Amino acid sequence: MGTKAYLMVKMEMSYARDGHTDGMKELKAMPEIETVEPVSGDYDFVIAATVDAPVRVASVASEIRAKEWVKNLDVLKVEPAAPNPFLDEVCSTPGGECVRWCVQCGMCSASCPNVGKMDYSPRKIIALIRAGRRYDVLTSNSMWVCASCYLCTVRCPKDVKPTELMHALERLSFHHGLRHGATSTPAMYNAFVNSINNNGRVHELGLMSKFYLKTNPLAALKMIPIGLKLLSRGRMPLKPRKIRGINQLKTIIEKANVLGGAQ
Amino acid sequence: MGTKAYFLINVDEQITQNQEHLIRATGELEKIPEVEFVEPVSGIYDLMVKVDVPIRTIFVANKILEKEWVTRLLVLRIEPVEHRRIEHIEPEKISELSVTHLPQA
Amino acid sequence: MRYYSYFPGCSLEATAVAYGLSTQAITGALDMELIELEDWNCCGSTPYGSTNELESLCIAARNLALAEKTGLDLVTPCSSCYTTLNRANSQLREYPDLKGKVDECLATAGLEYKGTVKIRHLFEVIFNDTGLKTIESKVMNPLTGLRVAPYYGCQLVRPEPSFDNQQNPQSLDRLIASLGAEPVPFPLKDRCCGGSLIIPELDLALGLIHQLLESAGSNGAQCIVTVCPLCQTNLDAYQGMVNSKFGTSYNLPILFFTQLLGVALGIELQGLGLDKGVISAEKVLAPSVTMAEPAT
Repeated sequence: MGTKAYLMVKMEMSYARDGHTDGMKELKAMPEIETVEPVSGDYDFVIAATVDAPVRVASVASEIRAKEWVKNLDVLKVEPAAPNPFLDEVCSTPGGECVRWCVQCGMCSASCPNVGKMDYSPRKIIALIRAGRRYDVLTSNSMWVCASCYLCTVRCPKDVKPTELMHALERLSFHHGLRHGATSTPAMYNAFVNSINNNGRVHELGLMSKFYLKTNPLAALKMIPIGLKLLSRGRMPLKPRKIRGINQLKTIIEKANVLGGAQ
Repeated sequence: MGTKAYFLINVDEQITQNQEHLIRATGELEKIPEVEFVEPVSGIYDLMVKVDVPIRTIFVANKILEKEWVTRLLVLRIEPVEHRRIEHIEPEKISELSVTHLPQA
Repeated sequence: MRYYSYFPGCSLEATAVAYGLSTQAITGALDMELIELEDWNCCGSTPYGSTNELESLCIAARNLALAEKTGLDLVTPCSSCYTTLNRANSQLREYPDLKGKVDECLATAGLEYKGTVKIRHLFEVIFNDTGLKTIESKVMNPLTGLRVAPYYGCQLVRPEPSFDNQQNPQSLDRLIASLGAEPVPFPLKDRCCGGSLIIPELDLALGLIHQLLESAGSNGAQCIVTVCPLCQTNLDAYQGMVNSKFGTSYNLPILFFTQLLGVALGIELQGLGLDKGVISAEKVLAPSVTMAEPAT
């Protein structure tokens, strides 16, 4: 993905009479230059160039200006016509940069074990991000149903990391207060985080109680037999265990809150 | 015989500073049939437009200049190189040069 | 004797107590000592990482800072902790701005992390550092005739470029073979059990667990061996629910690889937590060894 620019060149009068073809040849030989068109008016050539990082438009311009037959050169850099703030936002979140590399091959969707439950498959989520559809993406259930199995990541031919992207979208969706109504994964994540913030470790029984109370107390009834089996085998401690350094942890988390996000 | 040209356009500051207005302005220009493409640019001009006109560029240029948000329009007609050499010997034969239009206050 | 810093993870104190017990039981026999990281906190796992990036990195980094002081590799038996701590390590390396903020947060608690800790999964440590030859030589109860499905789960070999093939791993198969048992072909051996989604997306996860049990069972597995506490709980504690929902009758004990190792190495059974499984392993392991009475 490069920067496109128009470079308008005015030739020295002394060269203008006969030097056009040679001038054009010289310019066309430069790798970044795509087209050179001779024009009449305030300029003699309109050049279209595309530069990829690490080359910059300015350095191409300097190279041309240095030619003895160039009197004047003006640069017009092409701006993207339709801004996509959502795409920019995703790309500036750690884990979201990869969105630009996708070629929509669909390998991720084909590998995903939970794609059947998703509003939009991983491939579609990427397409939607690039189409700037913030609301549709952040209110979908797709990322909340991602099990982080990483099959997509390992198989992507373009090194896109859909799993990381899904987590970035979850964070964005929390951040913007937009969440799919029917998915209760956010509630579970919140309960999980709370358990850590209070104890330093996850207390599974506490987590499950908070979660079911908040979302669907009746569903808890289904889980009681399993809960009892685990309890009777000593696999379900009743009381949470606080780490000694819980205050230390709380201080760290508070400071992270103050410092704000991770953009 | 068609003539191709680049129009370099300056627009009102209010348009360049507002993305939605810029998109609307770009759309308006793209609707004109002779316009091939419109690209917002940064530099001494604001929009780079390519046109393909049947005879003379002056008609399309005027159509664009009629829009109150256009402050300046520069025409660069694309010429084949041989043609240029001849024209430089007889500069008076050049049909269009720059057309500058400044807004009313 | 090889020393390692040990990060058990929250589930080893709860649903996966058997994992912790069996791990400690076998380390002596394998010339390893696991020194529990003092006052470790939860790594954050997927839920924290999906809520707030900076906070989740900070809590993971506290563990890394504490581990760095020991100068030892940090070993964890939990695949999720392994992935989370590794991810934190990579993020801190790839995003220096983030690292700057994390450093500031750690500093409020008088901690610092320079980025030198190496995080390893317990299975990989045993496979590579102890090695199969050594293990084979120490086997007292060869598990002859025991058909075991090797269940890697998703996060042992993914996403980190790994010690084993990321789409068709073989290391656990080979470990099982070295214990005298028969590793069963298991096409879904590295597929997801649903992980923590078992709580908010029960039906979805039950579907995944069903597929796994089907794949292992239909290939003749008598039991399944895992390297991850979440996998064990999902396949073990919820097997009954899978049977009710899908009308199946699976009865596959789900063992931790450390438990299987323990049995083969002749470790005293009491210490391996074999009675903790919801699906009992007594019958399946009986030919290899007589089981102690399950604790009441």
